[in-house]
Order: sequence, then C-alpha cells, then structure tokens
Amino acid sequence: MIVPIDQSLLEVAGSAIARLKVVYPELRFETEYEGIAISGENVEERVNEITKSVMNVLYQEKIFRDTLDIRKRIYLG
Amino acid sequence: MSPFRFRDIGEDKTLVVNEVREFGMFERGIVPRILNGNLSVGEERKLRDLKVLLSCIDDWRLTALASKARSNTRKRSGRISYMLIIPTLRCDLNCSYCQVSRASENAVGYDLKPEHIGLLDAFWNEHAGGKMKIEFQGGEPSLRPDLLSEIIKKAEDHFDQVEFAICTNLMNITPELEEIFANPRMHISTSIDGPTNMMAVNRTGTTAGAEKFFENLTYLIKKHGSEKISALPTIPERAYENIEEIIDFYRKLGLSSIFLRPVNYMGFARKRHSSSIDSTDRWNEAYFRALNKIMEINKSEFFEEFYASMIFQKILGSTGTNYVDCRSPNMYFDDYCVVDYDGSIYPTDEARMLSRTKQVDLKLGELGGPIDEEKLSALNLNSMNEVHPDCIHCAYGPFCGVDLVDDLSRYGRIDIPKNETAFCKRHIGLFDLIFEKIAARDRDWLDPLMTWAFRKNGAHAPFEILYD
Repeated sequence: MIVPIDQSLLEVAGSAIARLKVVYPELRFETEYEGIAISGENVEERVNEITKSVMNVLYQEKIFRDTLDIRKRIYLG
Repeated sequence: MSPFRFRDIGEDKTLVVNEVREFGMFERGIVPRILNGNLSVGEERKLRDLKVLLSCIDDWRLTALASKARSNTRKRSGRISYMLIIPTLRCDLNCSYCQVSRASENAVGYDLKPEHIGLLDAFWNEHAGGKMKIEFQGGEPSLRPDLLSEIIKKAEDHFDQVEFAICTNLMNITPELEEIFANPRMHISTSIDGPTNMMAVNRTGTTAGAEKFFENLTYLIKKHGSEKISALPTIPERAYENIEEIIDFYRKLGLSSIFLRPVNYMGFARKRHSSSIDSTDRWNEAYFRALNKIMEINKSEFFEEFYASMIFQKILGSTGTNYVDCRSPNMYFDDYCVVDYDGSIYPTDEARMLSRTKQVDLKLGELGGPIDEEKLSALNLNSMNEVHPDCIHCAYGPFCGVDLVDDLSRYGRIDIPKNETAFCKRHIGLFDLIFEKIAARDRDWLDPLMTWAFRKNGAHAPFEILYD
C-alpha cells in the first residue's frame, strides 16, 4: 500500500518513518516518489488507521522542522 | 508560524495547542490548511490569537509566547517547601497493596532516631525557605506520637508558616495522638477503600478491624469537623466493577470529594497485584464510568473527583496545581523531598519505595550530609516533557507531566517509548475524554468541572471561557 503525500512532506519522510517504525514495529515503511510505501501483515485491513497515523506523523515532523528557528528563539532567546 | 501541536478530537474537530497551554478547537483538516496557507478568515484570526500564526519574526506575539514559555520552564524554586517525613516504617496493618513494603509492628530498627531529628534544623537552613508543609507518612506514623510531637515543635519554632498532615490508618487513637490531631495546623488524611467488607479485604484483615476504623473516623469527624479530615481510596483491579459503590459510600459518609486511584505498582503491590503493571485500559474504563456517575451526582449536589478536577485546572491554564506526579518540568529535590526513617533523603515517596525493594537506588543523601548532585542531575535531565522526543509533538504535553519513578518501577528503565507507558496511556485517555466534552460543549460535564475548578475562590466562570 502507498500513502500518497505532498512533495513538501517528502523532506520529512525519513524522520517520520523512523518514528513510525517505533509505533508499528511489525510493518515496513519506505519512501517512494509518490509517497510512503507500507507493507506487512494485515496492512490492507488497517488502511484508515495507518494512513491517519502516517499523515499525522508527517505533519508533526513538518511543523517541527519549519518552526525550529522560532522554537530556539522562544526557549533560548 | 510558531510551534504548535494538534490532535483529532471526536468526529470532526481538531485541537490545536500552542507551546504555552493555549488551545483552540478547529474543523478537521486544519493542519494541512495551515501548512498550505489555505485558511478561512476566521481560522486565520483564531490562529493569530493563539500565536500560532505570526506576521513577522518580530511580531509581539512571539515575545509574549517566549516570555510565558520561559517562565513555565524555568520556575525552579530551589527551596524545599513540602517534606514527607517517615517517623517509622512499622505498621499495625498488612494491606495487600502496601507500596512501601512496611515493617511489622514490633520490628526493631525501623524508627527515626533522635539524632536525625536534631539534624532537621540544619537541613531546613540549607534547603528550605520560610514556608513548609510537613506530611507524616509511614509505615504508620501514629505508632510514634513522641517523634511527631518533637518534629512539630521544632518546625513551629523554625518556620514563619508551617502546616502538617498525618497519613494514618486511624486504628489507634491515643490521648497523645488526640493532642496532635487537635493542633489547628494539623490535617488528617486516611484511606477508605469502601464499605466494611472492602476495608476488611484490602486493609484491616478483619471485619472487627474495619468497624473499629469507622468508629474512630466517625468520632474524629464529630470532634473536628469533616474539613480537617480527607480520605482517599486505593482501588485494586478486583474492585473496578464496584467502583460506583465506593462513590456512594463516600457520599454516605458525608464526604464531598474523592480521589479515585488505582493501585500503585510499588512495594508489596508488585507481587500481590502484579496485573496492575499494565491494567491501564481496564482502569480507564472503570474510571470513566465512575466519572459519568459523578457528573450525574453533580446535577443535584457538589461532589468532586480530585484527579479530573486537577487535570481540568491545568487545561484552564492554572499554575496553582502542583501535583508532583503530573507536572513538567518535574525537577527533583527542588521544592519537595522525603526523609525516610533512617535519615535517608529521597526525591519522592515512590523513589524511596524503589530503593527499599532494591530495584534502583534513588537515595540522594542523608540528613547531615551532602546531596548527590550527579544522581540528581541525571534524574532532572529527563524530567521535562517539553524537550522529550516522545512528548514534543503531543497535543497534551503542555498540560501533562512526567513521572520517571513510575516508569522505573514498571519497566526498570526510563527510555521505553512514552506512548507505551501506563502513565501516558492513563493521561491520554483522560485528556481525550475531557477535550471531547469541550469539543461537544457538553454542559453535563463542563458545568461540574468549572464549579470544581473555581470553587476555592468562590468565583464562577461560565463554560464559555473555553471557547473563543
């Protein structure tokens, strides 16, 4: 199964996959041109749940990366 | 854009939280709309109010955000203002869930020595300020009223402002204890697990023992009034299905508050209640059922559940809640510590339990000696969810806490993924429940929660303050 993602999220796909592997140790995640490929047992039966998790983790990583400078200013001055 | 966290709530809402506990409820899909710049006028205004969207790098909103965030994370007092003192580890009961692995009533060598009490002044001079609350824990502290009196006198001479609490099983009320209880600065705390049968099974061992407890409790309430006495249950897994009975029993006793707590996975409880290591889902199910009942009760009378009330106050932005098992930063030996029966100093009550069961030595030092700064730093470096990799993305992080000692007790380590810990599961469940009620504007829940939160200062805020 492939979760299609916007090109702007591809830059954070690596860190997102690192986190997803912790949450879903039984699944395999790989970056493809058109999105994140996921394989493993019963993936097709859990499409909605997994897709939601993948997108949430990607958004979190994107927000984190895009706000790092501001975060430093907030906490370090 | 400034840092923000999000979480889907209910069917169609998404919660957006900034770094300083301010939040807003948005229509689902708000996050990609923020990232793509595809917002409605209303959403954009709301996100600017939340300080998530900034006009420029010098936006005053960023200064306000930074100022609040820094004051939240740097609020170390460096002065101990709450101390637990264990006059004795001996106890005359044998509760199945005892967290501290107490010593038997006649054991020798488990009481605080006079020389330890002599060292308290020097300890307070070095580590405390002008205000102090001392809580006597055990074992059963009432077995040594002489030591209690001595410490109370010393503290009253030392501090400008001092309060005391004694956590006692109320099995024996001697004239010496009566004198201690009568001190207006003394508060009495005890355990009531439910009606006589539950008390006998969990605590006293016999029905006669449980009856004696209730006789003593009734006597004290009559003599001092119910405000001087607080009670809380410890609920083993076998009692989850009867949790409503416990609530009814508290009301029957005339109590208007309850703190529903599962068994703590510490001490004897590790062996006798081994399933409590991971009974969080079952606990949450029972706890939420209990909260539903309590909200029904609140339609006709005031009856508070302490933990939900405390969590809701955090959501409202209160900085007055300083519950040590759910706060962040949770710096150890900052404003709170424990002095054990042998003069050892621990960062928390649970830390002394882990040391006693020889899982991990969290002793920080002894009265009269130095504090182990290296050990303290190792703990404190991991005591901020604000910088913990598993918590920095969590929408509930700003309202939540960190409890390393609980992680150590259950898993023997602090680096397992936070989302797999009992602490995280318990709190995510409760935050989800409360934010679902906020999203649904559920007055049956929000009115009691607001009443509990604002009860103390007499003011009443309408539930609308939760919305923009």
